Order: sequence, then structure tokens, then C-alpha cells
Amino acid sequence: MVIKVDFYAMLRRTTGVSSVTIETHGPIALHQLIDLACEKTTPLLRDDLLDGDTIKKGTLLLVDGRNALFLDGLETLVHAGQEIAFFPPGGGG
Amino acid sequence: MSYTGKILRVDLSSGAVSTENLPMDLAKAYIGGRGLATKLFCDEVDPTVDPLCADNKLLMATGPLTGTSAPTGGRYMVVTKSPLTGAIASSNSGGFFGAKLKDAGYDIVIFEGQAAQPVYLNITQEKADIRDATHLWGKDVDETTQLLLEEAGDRNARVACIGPAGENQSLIASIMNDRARAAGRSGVGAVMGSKNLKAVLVCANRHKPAVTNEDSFKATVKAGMTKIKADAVTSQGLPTYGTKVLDNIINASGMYPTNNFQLSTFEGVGEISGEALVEKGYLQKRKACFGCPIACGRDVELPNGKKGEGPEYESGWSLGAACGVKDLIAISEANFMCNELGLDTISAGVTIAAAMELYEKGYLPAEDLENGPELRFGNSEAVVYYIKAMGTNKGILGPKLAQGAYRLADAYGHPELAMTVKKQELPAYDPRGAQGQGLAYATQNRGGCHVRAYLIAPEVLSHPEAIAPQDLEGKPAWVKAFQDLTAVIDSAGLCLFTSFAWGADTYNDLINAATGTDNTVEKLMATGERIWNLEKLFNIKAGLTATDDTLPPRLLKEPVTEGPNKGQVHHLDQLLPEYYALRGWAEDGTPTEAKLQELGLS
Repeated sequence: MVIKVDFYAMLRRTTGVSSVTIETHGPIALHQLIDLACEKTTPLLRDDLLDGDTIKKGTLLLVDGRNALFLDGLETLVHAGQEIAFFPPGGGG
Repeated sequence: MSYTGKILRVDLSSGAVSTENLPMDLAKAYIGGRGLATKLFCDEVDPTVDPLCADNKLLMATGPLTGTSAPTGGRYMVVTKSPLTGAIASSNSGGFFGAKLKDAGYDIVIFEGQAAQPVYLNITQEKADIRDATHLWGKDVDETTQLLLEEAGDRNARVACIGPAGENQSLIASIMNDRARAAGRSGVGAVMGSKNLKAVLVCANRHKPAVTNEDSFKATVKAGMTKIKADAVTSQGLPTYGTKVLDNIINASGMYPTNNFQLSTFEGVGEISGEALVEKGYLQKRKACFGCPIACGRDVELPNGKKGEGPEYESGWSLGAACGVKDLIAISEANFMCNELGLDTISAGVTIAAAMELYEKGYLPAEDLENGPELRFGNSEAVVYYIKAMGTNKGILGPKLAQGAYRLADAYGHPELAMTVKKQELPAYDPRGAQGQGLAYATQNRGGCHVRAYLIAPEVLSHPEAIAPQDLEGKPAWVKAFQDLTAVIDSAGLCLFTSFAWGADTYNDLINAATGTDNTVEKLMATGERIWNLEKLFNIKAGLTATDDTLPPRLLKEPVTEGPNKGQVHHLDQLLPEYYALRGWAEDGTPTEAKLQELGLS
């Protein structure tokens, strides 16, 4: 199955792309998806998203528009067809 | 201390211009800017006044940190009674005008009365005088600014003025300063227009305000700068992509109001986002206001050669997704046009969006378009065309559009299609996806507004901590705290964006060092609460009631049809009673005597 991950704002500068597609054999945890996205782009992506084993403050990992912090965090299971969007800390108004 | 200690009073009826001492006891109790100007305004103006008559007053107020070396210290506030809402108006702007006003030696300028013919106020460090502005009447913001700078012979002079929209007393007219910065909301430009006051020109050499405790102030400024440089929002996101970094975030979160809030996601967002503005090469350079290390402003050049500032997130959304438009060039041109005509971009776009829904549903007849472009969602030509009609009061629709979304929709028999609170157009977040933001919208003293309590920060952006957007528990307390702290920031003369990097302690330390006060954070927050309650009291005396603390019926009754928040409505009925109780207000939203005594307002 294929999972598409969209990158926004500064993450496009880090990865050099606006999205990647990840092939897996079934649902995977968000932290595994990040590992695979790093393999496809750059290990620097992990530094942008994570502080050790936690999601970096202000960084948004959205699964179907829902903040992973309010799902199962990095253990959130991601399925094919879900919309995955990674954002660095953002603000404005 | 960092106040100039002077108020300039300008009687436009008699032509008298006089100087008064700043009441320091009130400055201590209300800080400056929004707080102090509101106090002075409430003491001098009958809340039932017709906003567009001579008896209404208009104050331009700096804060104690305006003009200092505090990061972003260039803000000023326009306080008056709004002709759009009938409530207190306080519209904030950056740029350089506020700091220049302080250079000239004034904390606050009070305009009263009504000139018999168009005039402008000329302010220098030596004197202030009222001058004829007949030659400027009818000119747009850019021309007016250019002509006044030429008259001044000082390229460092600063201008705040109205465009044709303000002259025509459009209820959604802004006051523009430095050409493209706006005290945008609540129709403050119409009040200037009603007074025949076209502009304020300030010529002054730099005169840095003297803070009370220089060492403490410098140390706090240094620490504050370090935090701004360390924070990813203020050091990377906002500088690189501007406020439009939010387009994709809010859309992906299912809160990006589209087609007049009929949808909550926009399929064209990728074409109009902050990323697109950069990747398409339209962004020429970042632009900073006075003393700002963040520089979120955008200097843009379009492929057709047109140049200007913007669009910011709100403007890009209101002239874009709110109208179903995904043409970034048309959106930018409409933004430039709003700036030149002196129209509030949020209100202008949301009013066009209401017109589009009225037209598509058959409530606005085709003959009223007078052969203009069809008012259909997605028609970028219509947005540009009707913005011009709105700003110049032309045709059948122009004068109706110029009254804002509520009066337009009401005129066509369907006020429920106006996405407004207290008749002011809502900004770019669908509150059915963020319950706290919806409560904030409903209770803002100046009507539909996001910057009096930006709950999107915790509910979407995880700042200062993440709170679940659909949860109800605890939201009234968050809203109250944000409203009170924002009142402090607005009164100090700083930009709200500093709050992405700072907590209340930084503001407290800066104000204490600058003015010589010895507030604790708790006492400072109580000052914010005093300002909030003072505004509320004005509104009650002006005739607003708890029935005005609400949201458009669509947001309360019609579930979101698509996206991450599908099926959601806003639960205001569950949040509002707790909010009133937390504020120490009665069930009808009136501050209790005990609360007023506690705040020194009885």
C-alpha cells in the first residue's frame, strides 16, 4: 500500500520536495512513517520533527486533519488513503 | 518614563489645537494605547452617540513601549465608537506612524468635532496645525501619502489617512498608515471621513522615549530578542512565509472557511498559500515594521508588473477562499486595491462572499449587477470589480456593499447569510473546528475578530501548549486569559506576534522597566481584565446585550459538510454561561457590582 506525506513551509526546504510516497505492507505507526520519509528525503527531517522521542513543540503532524498529539502520538497507526501532513511550527493571524 | 506625557487635542469644529498633560494616574491603571485611550474615550463620549456625528471622538494612541527599543514597538491604536458595530472600536496598526507620533512628542491625539471642509492635521515637534485638504479629497491612499510627503519635504515623514472609502463613510473603511498598514477593522475610516479629516502628517526627528530603568529595560529587551530568535515561529515561519504560512495549516485542519463558510476546506489552497507566494516568485522581499525583528510583511511583484504589500493570511483568505477564488494574482490585486481605497480587507472579502451567496441563491437579482461580472463563487473578476464598486460607492451595489456583509444581506432579506458577529465580518477560521475560537468570536467587545483572543494558537498551533480543538472543558478560562493578556499587549504598543515567543512575564518586565511601575504578572493581568470590562461597560451602555454575544446561525446549526470537522457545529450555548460566570458577570452578560469594585470600575 502507498501512503503520501505532504510537507509544508520550512520542511520543503529541508527535504527539497513538497511530498513523498511511502510504500508499506500495511498500517504503520507514525514514527515508522517518519523513519521511512527520512530515508526517502534526508535524515535532517527527523531533527525538524522530533525532539528525541517526542514531537517537537509546535510541530504539527496531522493525520486526516487531526493533530497526532490528540490521537496516539507517534504510535498513531497510519493507513493507506489517509491524508498525512507535516508542518513546522507556524503562526500568524 | 517612556510616555511623552502629552495629549494633543484637536477640535475640528473650531480649529483649536491644544496640548494637555497625560493623566499619569490613569496611565498607571490603563497602561496606554488601547487601554488608556478607551478610558479617556469612555470618560468623554456618550455611549449612545451616533458614530458618524460630530460628538463622536476618535483617538490615536501609542503605548509606553511604542517608539522604544522593545521589539515590535511601533504600534498605535485607533479608538472610537464603531459605525459598523455600534460598539467600542479599537483598531491596531503597525508600520512607522505610531513611533513617529511619539517622536513628535505625543502619546495620544484626540480628534473631536467635525471640520466644515476637508482638512488634515500637520504635526511637528514644534507645533500642530489644521490645514486645508480640499486638494486631497477624492485621492486614494497612495496618492494622498505621496502628496503629503512632497508637501512636507521630508521623506522620513509619516502619514495616516483615509481613501475614498473613508470619505464615503463606508462602514468597513480603514485608516491606512505608511501606505499599506491598516487600522483596518470596525469602520474607523468612516469616522475620520465623517469628520472631514483626510489625513494626519507627522514630521519629526527621532526622539527615543526615555525609559525609567534603563539597565532593566535593556536586559529585558535583550532576553526578549533572544526568545524571538530562538522561537521557530518568529525566527523562521513568519519571516520566510509571512502570516500566509497558515493557509495550508488551517485548511488541512478543516477550518479554512470557503464559499462564505459553506465549506471548511478549499481545493485551491495550494495555488494561493504562503508557500505558493514564495514558490511562484511573487515575493520580492520581507518587510518589517518599526523595531521589528520578525518582518512578516510581504513586498510583492506580480507577473503583470503590479507591485504592493501583501497579501497577508487574512486578506488572502477573505479575497480568496471566502469567495472561492484561487487566482493569486487577482487576490493580490484586490488586496492592493483595498489598500488604495482604504477598505478593511477582511470585511471587504467577506462582504463579497455574502453577495455571492445571495446571488447564487437568487436573493440578489441579476439587474442589480448592472451588467457587471456575475457574483459566483470562484469568479476572480467579480472580486476585483466589486471591491472597486464598494470602495468608490458606484452603481446599485457599491453603496450596499460599502455597508458591510450584515446590512447587505439584511437589505436582500437574508441577514442569516452574513458571517458576522455584532455586524462585523468574521476572520479566517471556521469556529466549528475550534470551539475556543468560536467563544472568543462571540464575546469579542469589538465584534467578529480573531486578534482579541487568538485561540487558534493553542487549539491548532500547539502554542503555548496544545489543547484539543473540539474539547469544551477549560475553554472559557483560556478565552478569558487570552482576552486579558491581549488587552495588555495592545495597550503597551507591541505587536501580538511577540506572544508566540513571550509569556506575560516579558511584557510585565518591559512595562515595569519602561514606566517605573512595579506590577506583578497577576496585577498586570488584572489591568487587562479592567480594560476588557471597561469596553464591555461601554457596549452595554451603547445598547448591546447578551443576544449580541453570538455567532451566525450557520455556525451554530449547520454541521460542517466535509473535511476533518465533518458533522461539527459550534457549542456556544454550553460555553457562554461558564464564560460569563468566570468573568464575574451575571447570566445576562452584565458585569456584577462586585467585579466592578474589584477592578476599580464602579
